[in-house]
Amino acid sequence: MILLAMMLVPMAAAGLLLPLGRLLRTRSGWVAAAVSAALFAYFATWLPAVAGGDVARAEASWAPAVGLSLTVYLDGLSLFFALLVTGIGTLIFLYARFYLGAHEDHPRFFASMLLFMGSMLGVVVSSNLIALFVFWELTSLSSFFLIGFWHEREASRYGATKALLITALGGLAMLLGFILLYLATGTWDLSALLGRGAEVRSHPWYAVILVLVYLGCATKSAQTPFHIWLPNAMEAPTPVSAYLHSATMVQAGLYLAARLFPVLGGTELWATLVGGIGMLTLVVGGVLALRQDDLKALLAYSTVSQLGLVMAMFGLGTAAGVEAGTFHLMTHAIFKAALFLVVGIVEHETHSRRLSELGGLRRALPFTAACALLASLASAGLPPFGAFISKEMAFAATVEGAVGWLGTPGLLPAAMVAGSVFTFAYSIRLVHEVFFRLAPAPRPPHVAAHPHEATWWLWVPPGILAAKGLVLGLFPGLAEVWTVGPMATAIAGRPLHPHLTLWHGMGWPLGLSAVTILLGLALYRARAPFAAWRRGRWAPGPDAAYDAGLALLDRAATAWSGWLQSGDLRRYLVIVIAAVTAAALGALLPSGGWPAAVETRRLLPYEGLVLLLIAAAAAALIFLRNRLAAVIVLGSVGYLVGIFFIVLQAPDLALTQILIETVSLVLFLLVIRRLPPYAPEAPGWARILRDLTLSAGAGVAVVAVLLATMGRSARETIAAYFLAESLPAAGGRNVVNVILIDFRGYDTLGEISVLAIGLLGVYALITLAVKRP
Amino acid sequence: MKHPTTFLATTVARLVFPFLLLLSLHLLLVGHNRPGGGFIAGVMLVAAVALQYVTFGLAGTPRRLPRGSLGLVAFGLTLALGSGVAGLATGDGFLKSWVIHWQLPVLGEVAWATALVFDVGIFLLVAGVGLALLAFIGEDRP
Repeated sequence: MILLAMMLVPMAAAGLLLPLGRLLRTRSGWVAAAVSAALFAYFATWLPAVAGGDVARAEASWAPAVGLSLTVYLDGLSLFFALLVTGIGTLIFLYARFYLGAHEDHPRFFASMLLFMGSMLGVVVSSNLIALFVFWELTSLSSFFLIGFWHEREASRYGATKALLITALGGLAMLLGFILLYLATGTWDLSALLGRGAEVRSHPWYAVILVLVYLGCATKSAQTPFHIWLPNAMEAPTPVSAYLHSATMVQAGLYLAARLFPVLGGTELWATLVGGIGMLTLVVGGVLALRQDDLKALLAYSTVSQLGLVMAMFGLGTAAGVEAGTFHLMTHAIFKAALFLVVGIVEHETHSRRLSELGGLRRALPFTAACALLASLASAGLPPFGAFISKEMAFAATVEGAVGWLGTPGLLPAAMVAGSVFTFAYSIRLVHEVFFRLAPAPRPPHVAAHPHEATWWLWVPPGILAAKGLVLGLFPGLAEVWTVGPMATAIAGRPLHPHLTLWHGMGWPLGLSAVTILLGLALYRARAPFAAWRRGRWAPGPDAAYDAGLALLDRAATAWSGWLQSGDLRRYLVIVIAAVTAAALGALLPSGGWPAAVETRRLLPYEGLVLLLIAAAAAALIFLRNRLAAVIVLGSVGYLVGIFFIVLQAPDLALTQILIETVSLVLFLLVIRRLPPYAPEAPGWARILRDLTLSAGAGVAVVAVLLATMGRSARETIAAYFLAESLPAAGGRNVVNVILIDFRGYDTLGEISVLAIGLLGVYALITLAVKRP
Repeated sequence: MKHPTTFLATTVARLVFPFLLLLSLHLLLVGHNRPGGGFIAGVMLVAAVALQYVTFGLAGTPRRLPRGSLGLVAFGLTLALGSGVAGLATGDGFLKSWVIHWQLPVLGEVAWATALVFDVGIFLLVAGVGLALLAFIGEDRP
């Protein structure tokens, strides 16, 4: 239960941070960091149990009737991600506290960050597929808020929208996959699915399920060709890029691929999709990274490339692949977050992040340079860093082969070496050009002339991460026992004991590493053509397809709404009334027309009088040519209907009708003030005929629906149940109210949400219309 | 421009306003057993303010109305959502309601359903939406 509550802590903190923000201002970062650190400490206490093979589980029912619940499932894989999210989160929050200027909106920033943290925790510990999906889309949403944090910039808005569209659409495909998975197996529970892999893989829908779920993973983890959103996401403040777009959110796709490995993995189709596209992404990302001038774009493409590598490892379908992928996922998250933070410092101190404008910063920023050196060497895959070991393991896994055609001898090692050569080259380029070579002359005017080392709050977080990368290399046994071992076991679904060590002995991996380093150095020396290539924009590609697709959608939507929504209120009414009439009559007429047995009774005289008055008022309305008079007569129709409800002894309905009539009458009068004078022309015969037909049709349809509902016997309706259970089950004598707030509370919740959203629409419409010049 | 009104209207409006508010509260609290409920009570409150509005004009209603009522909407929605969470903690499912019996000194035994909290959320939200609409549409803009 505590476990379940912990999951919701960041969300609650985010909710509190917004209203308390006025008080906290720049202190918001401390609150966020404290929350994050406490969660990290809490999850760390689970390490011994989980490393010993335990699995924690907690459940809270949401809607038990349809199998919805919040189920927390904590095994080696989930715990690793929980620690990653909270651990790196703590460092990033401290960093961001000093990265953001004092005048910026700290509460909004940290509330969005905490919302993200909560959603990401939800993704990695949820065992219910629907809950996982909801948290998954929440990470996309918080990412949207954070990329668009500086929403006054056009590029930020473009990047935020692109990321949201691509990842949320992928998420929808994933939801379809989950639904098919549920239909095939009858369970929403992931932990129950884990043991039923063979059954799922032999199901006729297997291929469809796999492709749909993979689309979710691939969009989230920026696999080619969906990687295009990640470079645009770099418009976010750098702490966001370090946290969401390198270390955590983009790994959600890797998480899901790993999580579903025992269910969907190991087939040739899996190897083709996950492994093949992963390898392609590794190479494409590496090539694109080397040609970038913007440091953050370089890191974005390098993230794409490394995500491809990890994905490919899970795609191989072998134990060696799972072990290598697991450890590389860990080492990459650490060195890449450190590199992003370093780039953030460089930009903060020099006001530039272009390679062509920077150089020789090691004297001005000595501590930052040290962090950058450690992280870059790790990224390049050099010993004695943890990433060297994970890369060696990856080389070994590619040599060992894969399921299906991907295992063709030589293919995987060649792709792996190609990708790693580019990785080596851009890693070295980053640290060499920014910190060690001479600064380019002349210095562009916007670049700071005498940059100073940043406050230690900024360089300590990347320092800790960079040091962690070194510790992983020097003492890999720690990771082996506490994280990588339990994680690989959880992924593979059977006990795995990866052996992590710096010295693997002479063999293929070491040879391939040596080849990579030599070719990488050569490529780095001959990098000039790549720098030239970036000047010519590569027109046809997924980016252009995205823009063209969006423009097409825009045009189609404009044309459609231009035709349907002419702005003429009468036209809308005609369409709505005609549609409702057609739907009602279309449903009723074919099913046998009028119901035979309807209970009737004689109309009492005073009831008849009220009805007569209603009809008279409605008829008078047609001939009125004055707006004010028309509104008041319309109001009287409403009040008379209210009186009719009283006559029929329905006090709740009558109260509601009369109150609503009062308020809408006042609102109506207020609106009339703003309208231009009303001077209707006399309608022609055609119009009169059309309106008459429409009115008569609508009247007939409403009466038909009423008769049809009354004709159903009480046995078929749920009314008897509500009447009987209202007092004993819900403690209320007013059945109408009990239905509204208890029996059908979900419906009411939906309705009031719609009401609130509608109000937001009115608010935007009125305030925006006034602000426009 | 002076708001056109009559002595009779202003006197009546001033006199009935507190009673209308009390009536609204009454409708909210008795809603589970007798005619009323959060929605009706919310609209009642809006109608009460609308009467002030019609009688005294914009000057007679607080300037802060639009902002404040947006807050009411947000708070009401949060309360309605939050009232469902208790059921999660006990494992009975979202939006579960219980009947609680209290022995109070003067009133004797009072029984109420926890769904009342949900109803209060509806009340605040509906009142907020109505007040905001009044303020938005009624504001004197060219």
